[in-house]
Amino acid sequence: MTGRTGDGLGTVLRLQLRTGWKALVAWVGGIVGTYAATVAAIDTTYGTTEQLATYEATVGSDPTMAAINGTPYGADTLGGVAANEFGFIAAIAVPLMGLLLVARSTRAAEENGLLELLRSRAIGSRAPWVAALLVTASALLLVGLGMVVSLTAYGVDLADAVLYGASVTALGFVFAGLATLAGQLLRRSAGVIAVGVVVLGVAYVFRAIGDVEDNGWKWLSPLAWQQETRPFTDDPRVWPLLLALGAATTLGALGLALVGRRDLGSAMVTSRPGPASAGRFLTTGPGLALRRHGATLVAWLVGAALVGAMMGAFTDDIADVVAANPELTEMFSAGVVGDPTSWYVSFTLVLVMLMAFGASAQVLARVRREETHGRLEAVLALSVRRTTWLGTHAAVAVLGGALVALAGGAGLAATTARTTGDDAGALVATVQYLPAVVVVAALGVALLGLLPRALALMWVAIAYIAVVETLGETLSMPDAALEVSPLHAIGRLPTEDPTGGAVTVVGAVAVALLIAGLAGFRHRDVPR
Amino acid sequence: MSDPVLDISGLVKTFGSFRALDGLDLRLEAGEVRGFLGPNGAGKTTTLRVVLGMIRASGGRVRLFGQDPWRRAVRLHRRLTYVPGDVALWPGLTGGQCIDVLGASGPPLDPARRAELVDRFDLDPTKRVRDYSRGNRQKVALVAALAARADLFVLDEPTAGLDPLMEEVFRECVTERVSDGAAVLLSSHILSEVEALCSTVTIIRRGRTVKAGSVAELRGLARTTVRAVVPGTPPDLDRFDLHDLKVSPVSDGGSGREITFTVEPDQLDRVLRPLVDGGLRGLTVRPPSLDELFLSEYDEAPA
Repeated sequence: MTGRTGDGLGTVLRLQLRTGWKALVAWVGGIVGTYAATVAAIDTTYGTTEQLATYEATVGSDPTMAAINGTPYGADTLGGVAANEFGFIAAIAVPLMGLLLVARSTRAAEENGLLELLRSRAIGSRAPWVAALLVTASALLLVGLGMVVSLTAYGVDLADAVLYGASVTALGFVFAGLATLAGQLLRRSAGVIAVGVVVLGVAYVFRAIGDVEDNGWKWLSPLAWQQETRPFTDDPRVWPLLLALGAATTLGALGLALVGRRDLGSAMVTSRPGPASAGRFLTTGPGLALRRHGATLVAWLVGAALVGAMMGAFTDDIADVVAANPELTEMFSAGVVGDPTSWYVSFTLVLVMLMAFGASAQVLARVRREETHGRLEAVLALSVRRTTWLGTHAAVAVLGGALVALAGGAGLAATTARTTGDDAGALVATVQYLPAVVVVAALGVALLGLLPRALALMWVAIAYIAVVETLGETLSMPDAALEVSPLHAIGRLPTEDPTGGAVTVVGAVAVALLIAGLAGFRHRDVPR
Repeated sequence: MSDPVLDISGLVKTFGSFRALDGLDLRLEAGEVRGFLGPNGAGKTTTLRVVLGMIRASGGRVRLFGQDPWRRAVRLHRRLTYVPGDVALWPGLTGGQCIDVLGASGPPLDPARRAELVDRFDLDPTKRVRDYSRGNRQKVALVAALAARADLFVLDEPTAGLDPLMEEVFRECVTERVSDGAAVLLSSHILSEVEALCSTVTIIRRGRTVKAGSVAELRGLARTTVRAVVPGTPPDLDRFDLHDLKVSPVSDGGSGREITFTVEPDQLDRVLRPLVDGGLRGLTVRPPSLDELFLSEYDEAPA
C-alpha cells in the first residue's frame, strides 16, 4: 500500500472536528464530569481510612457488586472505591464513545454520500478512517487525562491514577478499533453500531461470569482487561493494558488494511435482490413502520432477554457467597437494602430498563432520519395524516421498548425463580416499570413534534437516568434530582412496592408529552 | 366553471427574517400543463411544499381543488401525486416495494399501468434501493407517481438524472396523463422539456411571479432573430423598430454585407420587404425561442 491512501488527512481532520465537536465535548465532558463528581462524593462519604475499611468489608466482598461493577480491587482506597462505583458507567459509556465516534464520522458519512464528494478531491481512501481514529483516540486520551486530574486533585498517587486513566482510555481504543474493522465488513453504520453493542453486551456478561465465579472467562472480555490492571491495589499490573492496546491495534490495523481493498460505498457483505412488489402488510402504515424498525427491535429484544437471563443465572452463586460471609449476611439482614438476591435482581432490572429506553430512542432517532433524509416528504405527499404517521411510529417505539423490557424481565424471572422461589417476581416488577418506558419514548415524541433538531436530548435524558440509578446515592444527589428519573420515582423494584402516586404522575407526564408532540408535529413545517 | 386545480395569490412564506416567497401568484386549470420556472433559490420547491401542505403559508391565499392544502392535506392528497426533486427512498426495500408502499395511500395505483411503466422505464423492481443509481431512484418515484389515477401531478425537476431516452419516455407518459384530463405542475430547468410539454408557464424570481402566460403568448413577447446577406450597401432600416442591429462585411471576403437584428414577430413582414428588394442573397430567420426570454427574466435586476 502506498502512502497516497492517506492523502488529505489534514482536510478530513479539520472537517471532522468542525462538524463533530459538539459530540466530542458532550462525550468527554459527560464522562469526566460524572467521574469527577463521583470522586468528590466518595471523598466526602468515605473521608477517613476507617470509613474506607467499612466499604472494603461490606461492598468489597459483595458478589452483587462484583457482577455489576466488576471485582472491587483496592476498595479500601479512594481511587478503588471510585473505580468500583463508576465501574458500570465506565464499562458502558467508554466503549460506546469509541464505537459511535468512529462509526458516525466514517460509515455514516459514506452512507449518505458525503465521502463520495470528499474523495473526489485529493483525499485518500484511508484518510477519513485515520482521521476518525485520531480524533476518537484524542478524545479518549482526554477522558483518561480528566480522570487522572480528578484523582490527583484528591491526593491519589499519580502513578496509580495514570494507570487507571490509561486502562479506561485503552478500553475505548478497543471499541474504536472494532468499529474500524466492522465498518469495512458492513455497509450501514447502524449495522456497525449493532455489532459493537452486541460485542459490548457479550463482554459485559463474560466479565461478570468471570468476576462472580472467579474463573478465566473474563479474559475474553476487554472490560476485564481494564479492571485487571488493579491500579489501586498493592499489586498494580501493566500487562492487561498491553492486551487492550494489542487488540485495539490489531482491529484498527486490519480495518485500515481492508479500506484500501474495497470500493467506496461497498462492503464485504453485499445485498441480494428482493421481491418486485410489496405485500399487503408492508403497504400499511404499521407495516412500513415495523419494516423500518423491526430488525433493531429484534436485536434489542434478544439482547435484553440474554442479559436478563445470564445476569439472572448468577443469583444462585450470589446467594451462596452471601450465605458464606457473616458480615454480608448481617448487612443484608439489617434490612437497609433488602435481601441480596432481590437487590441484585433490581439492579439487573435497571439494566434491562436502560436497554428498553435505548430501543425506544433508537426507533425515534430513525423516525427523525425519515424526515432529514427526505422520505417523510414522499409520505406526507400521500393521503397520510401526520398524527397517524407519527402516532404509528410512536406506538412502535413505546410497544417495542415495552417488549424489550418484558423480554429482559422474562429472561431474568426464568433464571432467578429457582433461587428466589418467586416465579414471576422479576416479570411483575418489569410490568410495574413500564410507565417509565412510555415516558422516555414520549419525551422523544415531544421533541420530534416541537424541537426536532434537539432530539439528541432524548439520549441525554437516558444517560441522566443511568447516572441516577447507578451513582445517584453515591453522588448524594438531592431528592428532587433523583425523582426526575422515572425509575427512581416508581421505586426500587422488586425490593419495594411501586409508589402508586408516582406511577400516576409518570403516566400523566407521558400522556401530556405524547399529546404535545403529536400536536406540535401537526402544526409545524416539514422538513424542519 | 369549476374551481381551478390550483389557485395561488399573493403567497408569502417567511423562515425567520428570510422571505422565501414574497407575493407569488400561480393558477392551474384541469388539463393544463404549467411549467414552473425560476433560477436556483427562487422559491420553487418552497412553493410546492406549501401546495402539498408540508409547510404553512405565512400570508396570501392558496387553494388546491378549491380547498386549503394545509388543513385538508390528507383528503386532497387522494387526488395528486408528487415527485420530489431529491428522491429519497427506504434503503432496505426494493424499488417495486417502494412503488407499492407509495401507491397504497393517495390516488389509486393502476396495476396494469404500473407494470407497463416499469417496463417502459426499464426499471428492475427487485433491486434494493441502496443499489440503485440516482436515475433509477428517480424512475421509481416517476413510476409510483405516473401509474396513479391522479387529477394532478406535481413534478419537481422530475427528469434530473434520467438519460435522454428515458426523458422521452417521461414526456410520452406525461402527455398520456394530460390527455386523460389531468393537470401537471412541472418545475424544471430544462427549457426544451418545458417547451415540449407545457401549454403555460409561470416564471418566478426571488419568491415572486415575474411572468406568466401561455407558451404562445410568451413566444409572442420574444423577438425573431434575422440574419440577412445583401450585396453592396444595405438598405436604410432606421425607420423600423429593430434591436441589436449589426452590419458587418461578409466573412467570405466578398463585397456583400451581413446584417443581423432581432425584431418583434409582427414587424417581420415589413422589415423583410426592403431586404428582398435590395437583392437578398442569403436569409436565416430563427423563430423566437423561450431560452432568450427565460435568460433575460432570470437575469434582470429586481423588478
